[in-house]
Amino acid sequence: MPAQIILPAVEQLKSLVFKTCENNRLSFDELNTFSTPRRLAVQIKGLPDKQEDRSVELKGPPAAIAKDKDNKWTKAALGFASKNGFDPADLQIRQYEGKDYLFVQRMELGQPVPELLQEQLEQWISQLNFPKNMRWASYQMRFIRPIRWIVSLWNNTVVPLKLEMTEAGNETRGHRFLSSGKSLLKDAADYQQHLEKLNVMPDYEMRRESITSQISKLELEFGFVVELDEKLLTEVTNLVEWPTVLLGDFEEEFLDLPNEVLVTSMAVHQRYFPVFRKNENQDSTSKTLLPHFVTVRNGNSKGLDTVRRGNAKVLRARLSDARFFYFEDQKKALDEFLQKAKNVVFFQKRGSQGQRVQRIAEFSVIIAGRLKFSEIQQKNVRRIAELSKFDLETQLVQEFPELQGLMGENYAMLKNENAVVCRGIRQHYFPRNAKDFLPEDTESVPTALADKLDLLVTAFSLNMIPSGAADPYALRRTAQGIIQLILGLRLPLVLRELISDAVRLLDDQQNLSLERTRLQNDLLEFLLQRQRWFLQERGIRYDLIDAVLRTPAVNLSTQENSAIPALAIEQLSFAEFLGEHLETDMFKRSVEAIVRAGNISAKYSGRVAEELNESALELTEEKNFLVALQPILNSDSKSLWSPDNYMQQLCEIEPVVTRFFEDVMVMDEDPVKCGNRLWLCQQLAQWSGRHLDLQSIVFA
Amino acid sequence: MQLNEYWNSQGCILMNPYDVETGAGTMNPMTTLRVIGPEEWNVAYVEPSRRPADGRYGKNPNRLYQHHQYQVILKPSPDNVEELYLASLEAIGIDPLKHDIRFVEDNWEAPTLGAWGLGWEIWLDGMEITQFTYFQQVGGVPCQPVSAELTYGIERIASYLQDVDDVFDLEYTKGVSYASIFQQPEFEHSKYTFEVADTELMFRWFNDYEQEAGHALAEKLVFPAYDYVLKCSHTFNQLDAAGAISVSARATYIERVRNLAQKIAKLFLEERCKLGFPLMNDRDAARKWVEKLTPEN
Repeated sequence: MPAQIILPAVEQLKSLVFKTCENNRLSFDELNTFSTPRRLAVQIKGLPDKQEDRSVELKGPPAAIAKDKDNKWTKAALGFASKNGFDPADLQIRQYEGKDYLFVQRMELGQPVPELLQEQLEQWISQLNFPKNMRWASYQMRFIRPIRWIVSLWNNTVVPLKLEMTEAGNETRGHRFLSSGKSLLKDAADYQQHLEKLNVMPDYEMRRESITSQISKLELEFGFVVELDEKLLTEVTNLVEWPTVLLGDFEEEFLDLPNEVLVTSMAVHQRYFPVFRKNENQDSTSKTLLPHFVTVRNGNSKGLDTVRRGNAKVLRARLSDARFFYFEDQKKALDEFLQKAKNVVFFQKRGSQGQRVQRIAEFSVIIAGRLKFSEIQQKNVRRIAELSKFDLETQLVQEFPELQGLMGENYAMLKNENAVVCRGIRQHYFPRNAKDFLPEDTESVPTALADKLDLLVTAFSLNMIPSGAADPYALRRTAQGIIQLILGLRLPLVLRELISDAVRLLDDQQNLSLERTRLQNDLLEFLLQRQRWFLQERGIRYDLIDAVLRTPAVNLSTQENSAIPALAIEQLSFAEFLGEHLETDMFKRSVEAIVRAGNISAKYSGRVAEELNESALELTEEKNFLVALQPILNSDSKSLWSPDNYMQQLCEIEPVVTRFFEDVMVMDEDPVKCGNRLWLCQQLAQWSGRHLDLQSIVFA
Repeated sequence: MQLNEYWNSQGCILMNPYDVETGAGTMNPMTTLRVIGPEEWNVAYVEPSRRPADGRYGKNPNRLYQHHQYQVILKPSPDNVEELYLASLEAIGIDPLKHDIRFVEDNWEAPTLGAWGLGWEIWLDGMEITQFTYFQQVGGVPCQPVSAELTYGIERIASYLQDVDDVFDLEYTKGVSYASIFQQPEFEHSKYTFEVADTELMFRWFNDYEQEAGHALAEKLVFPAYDYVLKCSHTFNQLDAAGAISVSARATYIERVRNLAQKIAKLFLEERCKLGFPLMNDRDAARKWVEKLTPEN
């Protein structure tokens, strides 16, 4: 089986077996799992021979229809008995929830456990889910890889199972090379020991432990450090059944390649662990690679030298290639790569890679301006953008695509570009996934945004919009990256403006006559989904997310320019703020009052006064309401208040409004009075609605 | 030679390389077409495989414009196919006890053929020496039964057995080096592909070959049509290596070749069906297949 699926598969198997035991009330002492590239196994210890007997009670029809006038069982009663396999003599009448019902009771004898398990065996296999199944030979069954044999034992007896390609038995197989042929497993309890004798370590943890302890020994002996990447260690553990660790060397001349090239060749392509000099200086973060590698062989130590030489030879070939490319690339000026990019198509009908870089550069500078960067910073931003993609044309990156950005930084350093520019070439790809870093240098941020937005806009303009699981250009992750940048770095940028810039730049450059409004709305919708995701990941409650995202400022598409758009970072701080203040009494009362004000003014919207007739205000509560509203009315009707100011304002308004609703009849017979009061309610609701949609909030 | 002997003894028909340019042993109709449909088929052959994009002017120790594959098809895939394969390594002098042999996941896909399969790369002391695939679909037609394909990289295995680092240092046969045979063609093909080839002419060829494939298809002539698909495919590879095809145009060309391949796969199955699947040993089963596949009138 492929290394990546082994652990998930055995976990699934374990839970299927566990469920079988649970559903059948089977207790056990231990449930052990084993897994190697060639086998998945479950061993249950301490099962009973027989399921426990139990008494089962069945409830029938109401007693009222169970007996006739002569006190004999009716047809309904007799039917109930015979359907469930009882004698009429077994029928009883008992109370259930205050009414009489027919009941029958019987002892159900427990099934022998092997029989019970036998019924489940096939499902344990067929219910395993894999990412990609296959068929083989002429069989109909689909599975991750061909099933070659099945061992199924109850102590020392075979529990039979017949599949189209094989029949369960007690014959297992050992290591592919270190043992030969089939081998009889006498007792299920001996599984692990038996396989170990056949040079298979069936326990994943044990194999892993064997690898790490062999590596520690090497570290101790040679005084270096082997970097154990968690994912690689798991993969390697699942590529072998009998691990033997070996140390190999490569020529020192290769050490003049960048570390990342060496590590990628070793770890990604060859599944070797790279070896570093032991860091004496605790503070230093720089790591020095040594010309060695550690790999794990599936076998014992026989012929280990041949294996070592073979592996070294393969690595040498790879590194020679890389070295050749590395020095060839350096012979060229950066400009030559930029020229080359002009002949590379980005997307059909959307210009060349060179044109894309032009757009990114222009856009980056616009963003830098919005972020109020200094002139020098803006100059660096432009250079980062111009150089952001040149390394894609280098031979080394074409050979090692995973090194994009990194090699750009490296090559630009060699050409004496400004250090912040060099770093920017690498950092503009950040964040590459949900857990990735954000750019460290401010100067890298505009290009990080521009690059991602340009990709999104280009794809959407070609109608390549992700649907379902299909997202070949990773547009969701790209959009997510944009949100991570804006919210993670708290950038005061408006999504809608960014989108419209990106659309305009593409449209103008390529003369596309795009349907801009529709495109922008689609993109905004797409980004808002990612914003929602981001807030969820932050642990913010769904109703609070709705409250901040469902404000009219967000849905600008429907309310053209009616308000200054809410910044994504303001929405984030409102959501966080709500999380803190939600359960205070004052806040609950304000929400109640404002929701009420909103409802009533919406319901009677036709009767709301167009303007306040101040002279018609006669009640103190009305006048107080107006006074409390003054700061709101005086504020810019389109702007947002910070969460703190919003809260402070609520504190002041809340008692007034609460009193108002207690003592004032809003729907007065006098249309002027009524209009005035509705007007007050409407102002309050609209102001609050700019910040939050309070109706979405669900109180505990 | 030893591989031939071994696979012959396992019941494989020994074949020769195909006489139209192919990019891999898989492209030979003895694989592409024969893995379709219910008939048994066990075959082994060497295939000189042209990969224009891998041309390195005969200067790279590992990459070649044309390398050689040893191709084995076992249909249906035998239950002990891994053991058979490992025994074949022993037959050419690779003792698994003295080496590290690992099966590493590698799924295969050939978009121009509308084909995919699941399987392995086989690593010998860290070097990929064989591609091992269970064909699931070819030309858009599900493979029933499933074939196992073993593709050995001959140069790689030879450089291992002869312990040389540079493929050109291989001894092809006593006293004759690989370089003395292949260095010149490697250089010339690379130069031709990257610097000389008349791409305009090739674009025209592609269109012509495509048209002629369609013509042959219309006459229900599977094999001639397939030859033109191979020509399309090779021409496309030349153009692609020359950098004449943009990324997105690439997809369009691949789709054009795939469309032809899919029609041919379907037609092959129909034509074999008309012949009553003559290669099936179990004649009853053959009749059932014919019944199942013949559309009711």
